[in-house]
Amino acid sequence: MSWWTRVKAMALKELKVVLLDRRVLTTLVISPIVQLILFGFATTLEVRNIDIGVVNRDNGVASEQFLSALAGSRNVRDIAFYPSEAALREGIEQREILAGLVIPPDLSAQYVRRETAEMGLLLDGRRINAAQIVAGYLADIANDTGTMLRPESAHPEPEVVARHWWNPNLEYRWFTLPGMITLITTVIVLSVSVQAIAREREFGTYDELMALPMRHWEILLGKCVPAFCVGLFNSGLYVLIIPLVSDVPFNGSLLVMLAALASFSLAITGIGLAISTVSQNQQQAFLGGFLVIVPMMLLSGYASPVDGMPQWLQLVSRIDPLSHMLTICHGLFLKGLPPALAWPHIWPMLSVALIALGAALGLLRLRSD
Amino acid sequence: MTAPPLLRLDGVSKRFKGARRGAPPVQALDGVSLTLAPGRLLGLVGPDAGGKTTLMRIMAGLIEPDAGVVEVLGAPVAALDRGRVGYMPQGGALYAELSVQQNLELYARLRGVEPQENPERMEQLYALTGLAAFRDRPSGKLSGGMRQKLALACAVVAAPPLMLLDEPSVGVDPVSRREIWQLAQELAGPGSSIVWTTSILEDAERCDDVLLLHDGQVRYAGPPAGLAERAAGKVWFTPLPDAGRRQSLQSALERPDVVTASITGAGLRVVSRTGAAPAGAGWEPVAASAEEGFAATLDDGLPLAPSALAAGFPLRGTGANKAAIAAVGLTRRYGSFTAAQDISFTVAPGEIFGLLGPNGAGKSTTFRMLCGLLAPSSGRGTVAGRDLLTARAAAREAMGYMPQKFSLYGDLTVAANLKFIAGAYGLNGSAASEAIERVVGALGLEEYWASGAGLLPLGIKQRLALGAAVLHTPPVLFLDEPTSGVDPLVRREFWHHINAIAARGTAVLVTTHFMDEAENCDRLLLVNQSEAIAQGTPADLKRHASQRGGAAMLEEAFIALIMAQRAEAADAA
Repeated sequence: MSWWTRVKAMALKELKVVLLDRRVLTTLVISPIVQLILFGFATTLEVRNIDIGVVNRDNGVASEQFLSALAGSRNVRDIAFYPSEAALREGIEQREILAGLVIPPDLSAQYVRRETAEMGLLLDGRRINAAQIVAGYLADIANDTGTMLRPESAHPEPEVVARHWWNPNLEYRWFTLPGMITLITTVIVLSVSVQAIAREREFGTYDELMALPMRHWEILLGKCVPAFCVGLFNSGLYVLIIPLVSDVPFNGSLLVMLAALASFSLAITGIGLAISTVSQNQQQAFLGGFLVIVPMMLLSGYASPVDGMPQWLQLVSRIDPLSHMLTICHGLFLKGLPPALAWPHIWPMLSVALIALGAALGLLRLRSD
Repeated sequence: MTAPPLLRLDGVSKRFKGARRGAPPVQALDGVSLTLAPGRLLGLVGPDAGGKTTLMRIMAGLIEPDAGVVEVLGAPVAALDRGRVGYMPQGGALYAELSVQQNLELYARLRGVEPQENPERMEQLYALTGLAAFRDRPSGKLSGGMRQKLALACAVVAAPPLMLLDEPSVGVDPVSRREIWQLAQELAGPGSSIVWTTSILEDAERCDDVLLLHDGQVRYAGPPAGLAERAAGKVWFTPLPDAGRRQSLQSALERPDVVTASITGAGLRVVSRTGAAPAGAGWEPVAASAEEGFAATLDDGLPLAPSALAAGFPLRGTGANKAAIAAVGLTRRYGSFTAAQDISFTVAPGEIFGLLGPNGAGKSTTFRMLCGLLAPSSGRGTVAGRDLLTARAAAREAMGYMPQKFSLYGDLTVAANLKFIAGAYGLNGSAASEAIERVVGALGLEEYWASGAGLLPLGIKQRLALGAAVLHTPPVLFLDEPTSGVDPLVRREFWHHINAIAARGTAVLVTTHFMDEAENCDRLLLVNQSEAIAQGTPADLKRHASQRGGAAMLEEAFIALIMAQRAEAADAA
């Protein structure tokens, strides 16, 4: 079993190189936890603390009711009154407010005449996501106000009653925190694995390595170990920590999670090693890592839904290990994804791992002569 | 009235914290005093880890001493205008990706010399270094000798009155070494002084003064002749037959009354501990060299023990008719450039085979092809009968490789490095720990066991690299300039090990720039301008050269053969 001895020696050496460096240790253990906390609270799609500008030309009961409902919303921070539409426009331009409401002088009169009342809404299109969400909030508040003032007019047509399965209160943290496992693990595993061979080249230890009786696959296998272990350790830690520090439930099987995390870490390690074999130094390796990390994240569906992408991009996203891991994370945390449904997402990650490691092996062979 | 000294040190001491918590502090310098008058050349010599580099860094104002006075250019070092001192750190400080011209102009500007305004100085630097034709070449792609010349030019571009050069001639062939030496003197203006550290005592002999540092203390200060004087009357010479020279050296070295011994020219020189001639007939007294004076000064009184490193090697029998290393028509081309042309030779088990040649001659290319680090364009190489291309791993298992540059892991400790290498050779459990213990004991690495390998002194790094190469007691050993940058005592010790290992049946292929080491080889191959120009025993080579002008010493033969080839090439063109 001398191959086992050689791979073990390589793996131990790589682990020492990575873990002995105190700075690396900080980056690998402390910063992911800080990131988890920061990202967990920062990347929410809910819009809170909205400042709204109002030009109120109606002094009747309708505007009064509407404005007090608006002020009572938990998402609205401040309501500022502006004298004219021009001033409102100025306010949006200066980013004092996100949205401006123009209440027409006959709003209350329209209400009394039982006509459909209308208000003008100006939104900051530069902040398109937030603006759309705010428009939704405001429409809801306007509807509610109307219903309250005139109960008999309420919804003669059938109403859609939404129930959010697996996230009944529509908490964004329930979406972001499990997703962060995927993103942070990607960053860490990739930044460890892209160094593996580039470091040897940069420090001039590559020659010594090539003169040793190690097969190329033994070198690669040994070099997988630190990135793989760091990935598994960190992501495992998150899985355990998230239900403890937040109200996000973990409903799935830990074993399925472990299998998925292992396949995922291996896939990202393989991608990192493939980049590392073609890099001459650590700087190139890092740049190469960034080159793949951004598209992988964008295609994963974390930032924008995959369903909204063009058909061909949706196909590309199917080979993105992040998209599969993201599905598994959400599935296992929120709804207890059964193994049979997790497998269709695990095998694509394993295939990526195999292909990437195969490419790394081929490139290493090619470039060692 | 004499001019004030450029450099005055009085009672300078420096202590470093131990490498790890709890380790005792290291006294790098202990009461060092010296003065350097303008226009003088001071050679700083001493064993590795003797405090040379620390002293240089203190004189350059890079670190502060714990005690003592340091005056540079007549003022305390703290007030030093760094532009007036040309400091060249060990190995130079070149940017490998930048071209020769970019490096030189960068350093010129950093030292306040605008290249456009001083075209004469820049041209002079290009002319003296011989780098004019290589202006656009990245400095990382220069040969060792050219790189050192460029680093030297960068350090002294502003013609400073004081030049501090740390090991400018390490890893450089004899021809380039002479050139660097001349270069330093030509670049220095009149009245400027040079401090030059070196581990090559031959270099020190060319200095006006020599300072020998050992364990942080000055063990000798004065003219080089005075250092040689330390061994006066103790050096004896005896002629040797062509055969069995190495064995004679080996037995001389292990005698209790011998401080050091070397093969020079046609015979064996020994420094006797008592002064009396060694036992046996045919000894005659000869004048001592600085190197012998160095050895006599630092003699620890202990005879060299038989190599414990070699004792771990199985007896493989020597001179078997099967070649341990074979090169058959090895050729390597890079585009239109041929780095090595049709090189063939064989090395028998137990033989030490030397590859000689100037920097950039194709020696390293040949070497790397045989180690399997470079695929030949044509031809083939075998190690222990295994083809380097078709039986890659099997061939590598049979060889130990010590690269020219330290290539172990600087972040890891000595222990971790050795454990990794042992594992990489498939040594497991007790076999691995026994091998590591043997190597650590034989090379005196115990006290560095837990130190980071990257911060070790050069000589210790070389020992570690040698140890790593022989952990698995291979039948074939590749040593690429194993002794570059190590002091004469460690060199003697290295060759003692190498000879003993060869005696147990291991074939050794070695490259070297030291002619006394070449004398120690059984056979030599001289490579120049990508071609093998001579092959044979050291005596053959000298005879070969003597037909073209005569050579008693190998260095002269080396230079004569290279010049002859250059002349032939010029005739042909």
